[in-house]
Amino acid sequence: MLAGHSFQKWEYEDSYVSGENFPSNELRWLVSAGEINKGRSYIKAMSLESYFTRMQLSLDSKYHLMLSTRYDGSSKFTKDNRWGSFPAISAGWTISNEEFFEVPFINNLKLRASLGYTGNQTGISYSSGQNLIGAGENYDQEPGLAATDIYNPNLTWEKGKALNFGLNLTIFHKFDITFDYYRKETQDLLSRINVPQESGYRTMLTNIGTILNKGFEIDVNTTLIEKEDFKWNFGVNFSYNDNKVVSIGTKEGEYTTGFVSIVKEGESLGSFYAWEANGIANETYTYKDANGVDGITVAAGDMLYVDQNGDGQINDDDKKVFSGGIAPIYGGIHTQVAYKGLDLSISGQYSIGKKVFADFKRGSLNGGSVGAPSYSENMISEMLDYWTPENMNAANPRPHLSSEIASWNTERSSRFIENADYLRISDITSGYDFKSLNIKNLDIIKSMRLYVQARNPFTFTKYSGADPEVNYVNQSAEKGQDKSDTSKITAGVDLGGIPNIKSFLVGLNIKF
Amino acid sequence: MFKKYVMIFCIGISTIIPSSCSKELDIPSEASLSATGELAKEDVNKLLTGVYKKLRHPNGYGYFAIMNTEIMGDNYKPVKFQWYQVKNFYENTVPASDILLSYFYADYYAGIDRANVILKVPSADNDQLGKAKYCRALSYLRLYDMFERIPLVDENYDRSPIAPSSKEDVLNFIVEDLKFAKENCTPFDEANTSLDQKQPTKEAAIALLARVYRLQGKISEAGIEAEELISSTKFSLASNPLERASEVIFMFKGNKAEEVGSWGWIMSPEAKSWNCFAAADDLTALVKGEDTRAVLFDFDGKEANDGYIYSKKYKTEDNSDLLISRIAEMYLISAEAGNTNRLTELQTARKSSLTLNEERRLELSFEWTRWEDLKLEGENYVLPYPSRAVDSNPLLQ
Repeated sequence: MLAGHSFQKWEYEDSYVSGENFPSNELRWLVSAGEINKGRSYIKAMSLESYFTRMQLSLDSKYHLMLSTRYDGSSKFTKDNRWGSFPAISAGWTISNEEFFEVPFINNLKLRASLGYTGNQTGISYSSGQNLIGAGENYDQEPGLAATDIYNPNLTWEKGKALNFGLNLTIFHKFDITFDYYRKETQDLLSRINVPQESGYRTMLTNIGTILNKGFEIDVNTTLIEKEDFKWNFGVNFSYNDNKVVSIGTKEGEYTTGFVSIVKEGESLGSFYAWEANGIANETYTYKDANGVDGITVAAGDMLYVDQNGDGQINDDDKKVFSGGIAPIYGGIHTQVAYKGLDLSISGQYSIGKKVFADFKRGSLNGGSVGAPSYSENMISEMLDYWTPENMNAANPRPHLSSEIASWNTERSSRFIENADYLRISDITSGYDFKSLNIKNLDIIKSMRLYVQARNPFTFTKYSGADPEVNYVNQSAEKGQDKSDTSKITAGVDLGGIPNIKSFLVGLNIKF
Repeated sequence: MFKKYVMIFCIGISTIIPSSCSKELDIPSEASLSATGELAKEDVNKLLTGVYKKLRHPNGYGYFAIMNTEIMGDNYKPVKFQWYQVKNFYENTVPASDILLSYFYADYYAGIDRANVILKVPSADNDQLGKAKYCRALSYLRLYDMFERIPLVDENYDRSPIAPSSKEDVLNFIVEDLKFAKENCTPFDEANTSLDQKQPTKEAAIALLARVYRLQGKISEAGIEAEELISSTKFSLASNPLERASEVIFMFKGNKAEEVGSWGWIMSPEAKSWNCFAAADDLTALVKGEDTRAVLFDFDGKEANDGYIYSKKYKTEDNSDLLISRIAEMYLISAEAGNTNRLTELQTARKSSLTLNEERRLELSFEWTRWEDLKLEGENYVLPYPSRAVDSNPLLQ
């Protein structure tokens, strides 16, 4: 039995000052700036209070029952809508402890079922529950005020309902297997709906929409060898997740966000919305509408995109949904071997069905001028395979100094969507404990382990960017107070950020 | 059958804290004001400042919003289109789904909403109400230029779907707001030019009223308003059109610290590898002989700028002022109403001898009036309602 109370408060402050017109490159402190032209400081705060209780019952090591509930209050909502109650119940039956159970090779078999409610208040502004007039709406350095968001006094917790069935199984005293099937429905999503723009606003934060996640997870761990001097463990897990936007509560049933992301009813989160690339034109090509009237013309060597609505034009109406920003299949493997004082562990993870929109390539395959006087961004060597009349099967369209042509050729399209399935060996560690040598006169030291470690040493993928894990989104909701599942929405877009790094370490652990 | 019953309370930590921290869940914002409290008269001035900000810089793409009808018109010669959306505006082929289009619609309504908020504040005085109505009228005029038939929302609007009003009703609404502003705004104080040029005054309302009467075809009413301003002698034509302090009736003041005013930048060679516009050839060709307006164009830089002639009307370092009304427009309107001596006076000051229409085009270039003139001459392109706006307001048809 457990009962508890917690109170947490987050405060966030930032400030910056910027100056320009310094007398020399050597003088870099603001005191030397000829002009201090911008600056600000800012504070925001939120708090979260919780009461929780949990009761666990176990009967005869066969029947298990857990009841829990929590009562959470968030400063992000008005006084009336602040508190949410989130109960959960789970039950288990250890069949293998029943007397009638006599299967010799099954050492443990437990069935589990649970139903639980969860609440979410992350991903929205700290002051969502307050009707505010914002400051900083300044004009010619006179202080100004204006409301910058529609106040919704009815805003409250987003609710999740998760149903889970699972089993734990041990066979031959060697294999531990767990299996879980889950179905989680998230309702009253904290999301923004469109309001008539004549109101002066585009959207309003409200509780609307439903997302459904269902899938299963299998986890297998085995002790292959267990002797006094020699141990070897191996484990693997496999997860399948089907994610679907059931409703977003608006008439249109979709909205676009980020650079190339879309949330659309019936599609998964992490979907991309872009033109469908249709290769490179080998000769001048003119789009035509349904009546055969000429539309736009594309020169030889330039990108072709599919005119989805057949109107002879390529514009926003021709965009299409591509899914895969969040992989449906993912998991990990790990193994550990210990022989006398020597140990070795290897772990890795994989993802199948994952797609990445390599947005950064729009710049690095641009081939056009981007600044004044005309110069081009650094390009990647892939760009060397570009279209010429002699190289018509090139991977990339022709480079051109006209930024108009270069922009056309690098518009966001399926050309930048890549298969990003991967297997990554994320860690190899090997060590040796000198204590196992039984050196005399070293009793004061309990252990002395020298180890070498390689992090991310190998990645097997077809993805051409720096890291197929880019913008990897944990499948569970993030715990940050102003981050949320919304990061899933823009998952799988590679903006050329810093990849996971390979690193090699040598270390010595001494315990006294 | 069970041999024994064992009940185990697995976790035995019990920490019940009777006191509550609930009060700590009320966190007043230290960076914003509560909207539920009473607003003092000074607060209304701050809210007005918030309106000016929005009108000067509707959004992050404000430079296109501000110069949009000039891009749609014929005063620009494109140097480069980085975005096809900008090209669509230039070529008058904007699809309803265009993203820039959606900004232009929504963000002028944001300014209107800010004005409407002020019109509901009980403590606002008549001058403040007049200024708010001027801003609302100016926003509607810009929306009218782009979309013609638009929904008219006033301070009683309840955010429900609303149908557009007819062109005539839109202009009448604007006129009523401007009449109120003319009656109630504090007159322009010549002793305080720098302040009164950057906020709406009685004279700013008169100048805009003259422009809108002309759009309504009421040229004699327009002429009367224009004459009222010319004869007030508060404003005069400058000998150097670049040093135009005496001419400005109303403008939004640019300020580098606030990162606005980039419309000057997209009209300069500094933007030539992005979306960039020079002045149109048939516009610059109107500058003949000793015309003092030659200083408004970079004729000297033509060769260095690959043959393009750029406008120098606006500053280019994120600090462009946005001209709304100058006395020169009043001379042109009055001349059109039949006071031909006003054209002579303007031409004497400018050392020019163009036709009235040519004078209008050259004098008022890049001041959001050319598109209106083209429409009066028969141009019939109207922007489609943005699909995002239609999606959330199905009556917008």
